[in-house]
Formats: sequence, C-alpha cells, structure tokens
Amino acid sequence: MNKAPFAYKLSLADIDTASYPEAAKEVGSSAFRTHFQKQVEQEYKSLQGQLAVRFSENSVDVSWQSEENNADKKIIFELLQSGQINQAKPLLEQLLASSPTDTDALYNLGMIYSDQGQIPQAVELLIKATNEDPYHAHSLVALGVAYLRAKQPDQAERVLKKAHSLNSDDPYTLRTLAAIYMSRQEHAPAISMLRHSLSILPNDPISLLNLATTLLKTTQEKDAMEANEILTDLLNTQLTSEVEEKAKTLKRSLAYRTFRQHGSDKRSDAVKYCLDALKILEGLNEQEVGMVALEVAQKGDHGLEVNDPSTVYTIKSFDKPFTGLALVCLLHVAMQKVSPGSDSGFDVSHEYEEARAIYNQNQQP
Amino acid sequence: MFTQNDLHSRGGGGLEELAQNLHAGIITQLRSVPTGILVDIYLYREFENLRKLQETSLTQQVHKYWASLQINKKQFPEFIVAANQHMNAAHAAMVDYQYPSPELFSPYKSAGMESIALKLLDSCLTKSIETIKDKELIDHWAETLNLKTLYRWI
Repeated sequence: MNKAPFAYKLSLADIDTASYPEAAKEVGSSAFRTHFQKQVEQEYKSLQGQLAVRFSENSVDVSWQSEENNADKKIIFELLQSGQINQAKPLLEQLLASSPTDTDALYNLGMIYSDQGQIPQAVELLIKATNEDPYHAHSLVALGVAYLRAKQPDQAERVLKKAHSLNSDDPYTLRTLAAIYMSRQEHAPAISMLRHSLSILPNDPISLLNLATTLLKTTQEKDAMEANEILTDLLNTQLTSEVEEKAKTLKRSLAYRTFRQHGSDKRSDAVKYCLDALKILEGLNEQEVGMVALEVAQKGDHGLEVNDPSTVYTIKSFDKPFTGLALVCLLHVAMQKVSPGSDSGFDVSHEYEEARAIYNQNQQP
Repeated sequence: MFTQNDLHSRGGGGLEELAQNLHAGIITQLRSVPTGILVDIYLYREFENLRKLQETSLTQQVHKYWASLQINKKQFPEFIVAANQHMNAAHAAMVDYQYPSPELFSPYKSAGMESIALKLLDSCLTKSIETIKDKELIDHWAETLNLKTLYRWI
C-alpha cells in the first residue's frame, strides 16, 4: 500500500529531553535541534521517502511523503497538463483515498468535478483544501468559481475576496470577481477588475471576452468601439469552441446594434440587398440555394463588416463583389428559401418581407 | 478524542459551561477509547479481509489526533489536557502495534508520553479481550490518568 503522507507540529517546550545528551538538553539550542532532527531521521529511516524537519521559534514541523506518492503525482500532473482529464481523474481519486488531506489532490480533483458539473462534490473537496491550507489561493479561487456555478454569489465573493487579499495580482481571482460584478450589472467595478487582470495576463481569452461583454453593456460609444476591436482581435486567435462561439455571437449582436442605430426601423439599403439576393437566387434549385447559404455562412464565420460599405467580399458562387450587409442579406434570403422562418443570425426579416413584396409585384405580368 | 478546536467549540458559553463541556468531553473519551481499542483488536483478529480498510481508517485517525499535541495548555486544566493527549497516545500505540509504522507513535514519544501510553495499552493486551471487563479497564485508565474523581458509576 502506498503510504499516506503525514505532518505534525510539536511545541518545543513539550519535547521531552530526559534522554538527550547533556549538551542538547537546552530546549531550542542548536545542539537540541540537531539531536531532535537526528532522532526523527533515525526513527523514520525505514520509511525512506522525503522527510522534512522545520524549526520555528517555538515549534517544530515534521512532514513526510513517499517517493511513490511523488511519482504518482508527477504522472497525474503530466496527464492534467496534457489535457487528459479523464485519465487523471481516477488517479486523483485513488491518491485522495490514500492521502485524504493532500492539498494538490483536493484542489485538482475539485477543479475537475467543478468543470464536469459535479458542483456539490467540488465544493466539498475545495473547502477541505482551503481548510488544510488556508493560504492556498488557487483553491480559494476554484472554490469561488464552484460557488458561482452553484449560483451562490455571496459565498463566491467571500472566498474570492480572501484570495484577493492573499494575492491582489492574481488574474484568475480578478476575472472571477469581475464575473460576480457582471452578474450584478455593476459594470464599472467589473471593467476595472478585468483591466487589472488583463494587465497581468494580456491575452487571456475569457477576460477579453468578459471585458467586451461588459463594455457593450454601457451606453458609451467609445466602449462599443473598444469591444468591437477586442472581439475582432480575439477572433483572429486560437480559441476554445465555447469562447469562439460566444465571441462570434457578441460580435454579431454588436454589428446588429450598430446597423439598427444607423437607420430607421426598416433599412432601405438592406431592402435593396434582399431584392438583389432574390434576383440572383432566381432559377436555382433548393440544393444550389443551400450551397450558397453554406458558402456565405462560412465566409461570415469570423464576422463581416456589416456597417462598412467600403469593405467588400467575394464568394465562389457569384462572380461579383459583395458588401458585408449584402452578404448577410443574401444569407438571410437563401435561408428563407430553403427553410422559411429560420434564424440567419442577423435579423433583416422586415427588410426581406418588403423586398419579397416588391419582387412579387415585379413578377406579375 | 478531541483537539483544541473541539475544546473551543464545546466551550461556547461561560466558565461553568466550559467546565461542563470539558468534563463531558474527557469522560466520553475515557469511556470510549479503551473499549474502542478492544473493539479494534477484536476486528483485527476476527476479520482478516477488513485489515486493509482498518489500517487506512486507524492511520487517518492517528494523523488527525496528532493535532491534540498543539492544544494550548495555558487555556485548559493541565491534567485534562494531559489525560486527553495520553489517551490519544495509547490509541496511536495500539495502531502502531497492529500495523507497525514508525511515524504513528513517534510524536508522542518525542513529547515524553511513551511510558504512560504503553502502560494504558498494556492493560488492553495482557488479558484475552473476552475476559476484560469494561468497567475495570476504564477504572484502571482513570486511575493512571488521574481522572478517578471525575465520575462515579451508577
């Protein structure tokens, strides 16, 4: 059986020196410390492993862990670092069964449970980790995240503020605290926390996405412009599918907001583009229209400059340039032809209805 | 068995309540540790297939109760703290006896508790557990730990 690591503390005043050599009897003296250390080393020799004896002014801490324990941990951390979470999980559970107070095991398994939606189990392990080591800031942050996922923002704020007091420059603490402010619609402190977090970890996609999201909640035009720049830069980097999807959705909503701000309820330029789309799709069968929709959707995958008519795009299906707005209108029309009523992601349905009325009128003899 | 946290949590009210809690705590420990050792010896003897589980559980208990060595002796009556720590030491000595490992009893040896703890354990080992009477065993432990005046049998 892999022996569990252990640690204990003794007050120097409690150590019995009756059997110590005369020179080592003075508690706290150098000879006393040397004698105690040798005695402990001798007692634990048969265990092998790593023994640590640390003296402070009034006490001594003795701790030990096995080589196997270290080797197990090394394998587990390599799996975690390479993203092989499901391979690491049972090994962490095994490690925890033999070493129930191992802070690393409690923290990492707590994180996995939290990410996999086992929130009560995650909270339990992370509370244990913070009880074992009240200064383990990573465990406090992970516990804060788990509380947030459990929809307990007050508990989350309490532990995150403790983590923040331990390290005011930890970007993960800052961005998680910002998430609490975001959930309360407290935009200014959220933006401040996220800017602080990004000053330390400038390319953190989650902080960037959250900053863009919060900037869009204010009514300031300059904030919307900054959000747009952040999202454009973000979408040009490697992202997880979840962050990428959220960034795209946000960018589309920003483009749509700007599009609607620039005109009345019904935009005549969009009506014209929808009418053009109805004409160029005329005569194509359903499969061909579907192919056009697919190509335009792929083109717009990283966002189209809908509000800048000077930016033009080309697609293989048609030998002519398109503005961004023309392409989103073409996509909308193509999708309505294939699947009426479907959501193209950019709502020009009013413009489409008007264009269709004009188109039908023109078709009549 | 209890640690300083237990002592504090039991002493939520005034001095009298603290005294009552300390008294209840130490008597409960006296009532349960020696007989608990007999149970553990019985389980070890009769259920070989449970030994791995028992070793893990008992080792965890010993590691947990080391914390009693950090109780601030100035805050509580010295003989109560000493009795508590010596009972924990006897329990650790029993685990070390069943599942030898140098760390289990070592902190208590360093703190000079070896002699009394082994004497307590010895009273659980010198006779067959079937012939040991709980009351006599507890009285013996109470005598050794200077707790005899704190209770009476009814």
